[in-house]
Amino acid sequence: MVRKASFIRSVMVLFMCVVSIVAIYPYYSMIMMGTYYSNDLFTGIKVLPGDFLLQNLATIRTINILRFYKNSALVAVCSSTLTVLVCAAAGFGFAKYQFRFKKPLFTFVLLTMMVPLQLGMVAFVSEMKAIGWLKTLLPLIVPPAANAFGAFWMTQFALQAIPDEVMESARIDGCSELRIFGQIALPFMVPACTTLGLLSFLLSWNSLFTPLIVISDAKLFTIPLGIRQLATNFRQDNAAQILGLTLTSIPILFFFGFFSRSLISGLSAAAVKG
Amino acid sequence: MREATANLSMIHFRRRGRYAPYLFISPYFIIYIAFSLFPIIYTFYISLTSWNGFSSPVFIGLKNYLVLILDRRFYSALRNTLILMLMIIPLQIVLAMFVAVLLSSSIMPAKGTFRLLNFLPFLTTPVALGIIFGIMFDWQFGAVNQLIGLLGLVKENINWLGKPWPARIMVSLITVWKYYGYTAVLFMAGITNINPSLYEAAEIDGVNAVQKFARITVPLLRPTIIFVVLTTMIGCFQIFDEPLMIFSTSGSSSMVGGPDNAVLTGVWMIYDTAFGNILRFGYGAAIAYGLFVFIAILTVGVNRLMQRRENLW
Repeated sequence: MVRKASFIRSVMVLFMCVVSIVAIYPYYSMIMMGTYYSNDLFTGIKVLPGDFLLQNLATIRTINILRFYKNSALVAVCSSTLTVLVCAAAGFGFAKYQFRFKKPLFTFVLLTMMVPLQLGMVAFVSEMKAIGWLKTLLPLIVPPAANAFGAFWMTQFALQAIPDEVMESARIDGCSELRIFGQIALPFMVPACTTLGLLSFLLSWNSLFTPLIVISDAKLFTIPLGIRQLATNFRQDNAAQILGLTLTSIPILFFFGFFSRSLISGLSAAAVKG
Repeated sequence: MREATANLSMIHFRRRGRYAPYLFISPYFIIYIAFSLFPIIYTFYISLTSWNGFSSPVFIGLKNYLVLILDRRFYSALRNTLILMLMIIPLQIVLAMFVAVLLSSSIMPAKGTFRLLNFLPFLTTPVALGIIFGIMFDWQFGAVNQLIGLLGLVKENINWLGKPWPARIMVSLITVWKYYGYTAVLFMAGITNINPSLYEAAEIDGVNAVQKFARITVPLLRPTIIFVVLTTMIGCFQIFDEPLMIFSTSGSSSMVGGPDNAVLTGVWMIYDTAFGNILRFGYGAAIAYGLFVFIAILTVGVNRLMQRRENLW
């Protein structure tokens, strides 16, 4: 019996090891391939690092990777902060007040979750042009803030996280509704805010579609656009291209890896409530 | 006395706070209406015009829609999306379920590490991975062909990038790779939430592990499964980043939609029509509305179907 249990356990571990290797192999091979001479790349699978790293680095020095990072960081920080504030306020409003049209408005939010935003992209570009946002990063910062999933989720969270008594006693003390939200409700909603913030940071950082249609000025390129430029510029030099990919995608992976525990536990909590 | 003041302030609040909820929900609705709803409605107007985005739009009525219902490429985009859904959804759910059950088991070591490793694909910039996958699935030298050759699975190398069905399988595998860890996290949350006494009761009745999984775990995870199916369906229309990178950076200069349009999805087709070599805003907008109708019918249909199954269970 004990032997059977330990056999099952080994099979389980083996399965998870295989799955995990498949999960991380693309990253590993990306890091390794960036250290080879381009012509040596397609001669078997690269397991160990090569010795061409410095030369490849010199090749891609022509591309200003730091600027992509700066733009992406600016966009991701601003848009995720805005998303959290807008969705937390909406969730607080829906969860803690009774008002006319509350039900139809909330149903509307739920329905919009099913409508892919890309359907409006043709008009979106014209709109951005009309209001003069095309030469700015604003189209990547403001529109994503109305995140239907975020508003829905904040509502669910606020319903059970903020005690009515605390709000009542604050009112008795003469606290304004806005202050109740900022100083009393928001602290109760911190766990949901953290997860939504991380998730929208991630989506913003990795987003290719919207930047592709609204950003044309290379000075405003975010990382995904930068990677596309890299891919075209170094079409002939695969190793340099891949080293560029490594430099643009691996550092942020550590950042996300660092926060992944709270992201995962936040997503789990949301899944259970949703 | 205190009560009296409290009552007073309640009355005061009622008057003062009447607009508060609208104040809180208005930023959301203002941003949504201005930047999501308005473009979607305005897109309908654009779909009734012939427009290249620069000159002024020319009103042509329903002509774009007449072209659309005869457009072979549109139907192949819809078909591709359905095919990708049928390949991706079952594989993703089964794999994620397997991983979730293993990582929820009490005898599994190093759960945290495995969970993190499997979650990594969800975190990375898809554009970068698109290029790496393009190299990994290369016909001659790619790691994938070398591996399946080594295992003796096929006689000759598979032309993943050049043949329709291999291209679809490749895109499905990449999509599953990216999302199974995320789906597994959702399933794990559901499993943690199942009352352990159910399993204990089943054990007393001498039920084996497979039966426990089929009779307790799967039925109780149904809401999560419905959520995953619906979001993956919508997601399949939006598959864009990775195939765009694979087919625009690999050898042959630019293959929109992959070989024979085999992996052309709805969003890719709009993008290519409106922002490709020729700017056709009007027709791109009409495609968007065609897709909208298709997505609506599909979502409502699948939702109905799955809700009905609930009553049978």
